[in-house]
Amino acid sequence: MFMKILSCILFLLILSSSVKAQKTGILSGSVESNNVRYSKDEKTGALVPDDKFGSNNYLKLDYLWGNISAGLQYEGYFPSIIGYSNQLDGSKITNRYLSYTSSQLNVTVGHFYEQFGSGLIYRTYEERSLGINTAMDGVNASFTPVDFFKIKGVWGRQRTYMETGESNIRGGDVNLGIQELLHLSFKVDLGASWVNKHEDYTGPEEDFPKSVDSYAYRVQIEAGNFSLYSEYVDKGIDPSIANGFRREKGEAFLLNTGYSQKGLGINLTLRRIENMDLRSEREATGEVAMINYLPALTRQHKYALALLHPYGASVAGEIGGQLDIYYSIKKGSALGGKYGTKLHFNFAQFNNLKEGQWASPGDDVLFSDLSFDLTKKWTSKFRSVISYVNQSYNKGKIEGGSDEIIKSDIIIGDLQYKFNRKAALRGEVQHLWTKQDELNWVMGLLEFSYAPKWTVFASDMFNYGETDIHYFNVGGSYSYRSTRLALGYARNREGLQCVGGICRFVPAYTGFNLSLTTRF
Amino acid sequence: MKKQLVIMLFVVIPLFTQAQNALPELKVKSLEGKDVSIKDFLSEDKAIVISFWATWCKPCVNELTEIADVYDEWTEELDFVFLAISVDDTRSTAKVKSMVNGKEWPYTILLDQNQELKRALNVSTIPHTFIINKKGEIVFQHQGYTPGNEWEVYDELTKLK
Repeated sequence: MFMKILSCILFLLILSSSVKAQKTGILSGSVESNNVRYSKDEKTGALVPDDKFGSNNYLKLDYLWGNISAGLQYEGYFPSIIGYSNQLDGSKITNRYLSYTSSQLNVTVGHFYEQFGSGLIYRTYEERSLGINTAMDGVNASFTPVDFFKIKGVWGRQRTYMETGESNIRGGDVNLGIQELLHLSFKVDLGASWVNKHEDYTGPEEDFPKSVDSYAYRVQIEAGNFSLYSEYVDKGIDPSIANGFRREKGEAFLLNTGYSQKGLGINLTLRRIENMDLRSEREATGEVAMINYLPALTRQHKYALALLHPYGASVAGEIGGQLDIYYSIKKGSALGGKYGTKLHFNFAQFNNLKEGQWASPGDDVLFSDLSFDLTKKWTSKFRSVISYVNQSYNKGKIEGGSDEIIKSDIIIGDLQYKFNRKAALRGEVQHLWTKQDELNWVMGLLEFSYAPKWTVFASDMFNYGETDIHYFNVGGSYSYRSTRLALGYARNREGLQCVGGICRFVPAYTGFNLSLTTRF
Repeated sequence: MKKQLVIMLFVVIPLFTQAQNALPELKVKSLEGKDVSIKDFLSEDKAIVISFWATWCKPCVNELTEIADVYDEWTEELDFVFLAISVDDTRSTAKVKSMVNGKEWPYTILLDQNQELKRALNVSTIPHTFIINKKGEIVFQHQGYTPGNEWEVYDELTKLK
């Protein structure tokens, strides 16, 4: 009933605004198509499915007409590429929406993405590279009556792979600007959110919590060079497969602080989470039906060997933090040279929780990562990045099955030479030393580019410690304006693929890949 | 058969459509935590360059570093506003301000944490760079970064002078 009323309101808004809207609307959209043809590879034992092809496709269309927009997303998996859930299968219009936007009011009916605070309690989003789309189908509204007050609401059901889940979710969020209210010289925002999910239960337990309420409170301060953000989440009792039917509340605490001035930036983040897996489906595991967003707060590395042992947040319980320091050595100084030198230091560590002691880390280090980068431009044509990384990955505690801790040292050199305004050559050399797991690795990459359209590259990641397997990758790309076509042939290692600290497991595969992305 | 047809459709559609040139109304955050719209930056005498980036995206950071090195020279001869819109999510949004200051980047930084603007502009991968003329129309765009792309941006801005 509520939904119907809202649809009516929205329709009226559309009618009233169409009078002053533009005469014609604008159609825009994007296409993304990723295709793989698998080949047999005895060396890695890569699986070759019966159907030797994998193809993930996305078409998005949006129509903008004054304050009104409407759109859809079509997805086609013929079938989905190895590593993606096999429930992403076939094709259909997975998302569609109609929305009205003005400076004060924003209403969307259909599929929408929304975030409360930092997303610790609620975030619906799309991450195609991991096969994640947690959009809700329902109504999303936000209202800003005065510039220091904003209220948002969401209600509906969540997308689960190609279908829609059965539980109902609703939530609200308010944000209050204290600066405007009290005429302070710096920005202070207070916020609070509430999220409820209700899922039917037909099991034998009488007092099973079918309805779960969670609350979050936050503060944000931006005062000149200083910034601070903190959020606390109180999650209701929510027994599910993902948390082993734990009959306890969940809790999250986040603190971000930063100081920065020209040439120097420092950032410290601390976070403690316990029993924070929150999903719209009690039975769901994997990359589906997540209501909140819990990324690993560690450095997102850009080089292959530093990504060999990636960490995803331990949502059952972890405590830790990270420190980042960015620094520029001035141009013209002895160390800075003509173009200046950039330094970046990062240290992150997460431990298990200690029973009974809220603020103390437990005895097991789950993951630690220390890195130092030096980026220097020597001449207008030549620049280099030198990087050192030290990681400790508690394989036993993270993946289970052993008590192995992988300790590694990695050195990376990344050099680039520009021949002229169009042609450039880039090379990477990386080495990883460890006495555990598959022992030592070496990696090399060469990339030649001719701007603005062409790139070709070849790389090889070689495990000479134990397996003697070469993970090669050769390919090229062509870009013209908003279109990019990439072609390659690669041997992919079995392992975790992570984006934004959320990881999925990808089995080994070898094959040709072709991808096309464009917007119009 | 249906499969092939659909895949064909994906490849053919872009050939028959024209680039859109309007900006959506959506709000993003400034580094000071204020809501702003990219339309607020439209003015009679300045073009706008928009670059979608993230702290963890290597080509994005390379592009912005290269442009930062020649930025002063560019601003001497050309009138433009450079908006570097970060799509970092909670994992790394907090680092944006420190990184930008630490690297001494001269751009106007905006935050699109849940990628609403990125989605509305139909950007699938980053970096993605747009040039908007004084009328608010998208007159140039480029997906990805190869060293030297920055000079294409420069040439396009010169044409708008």
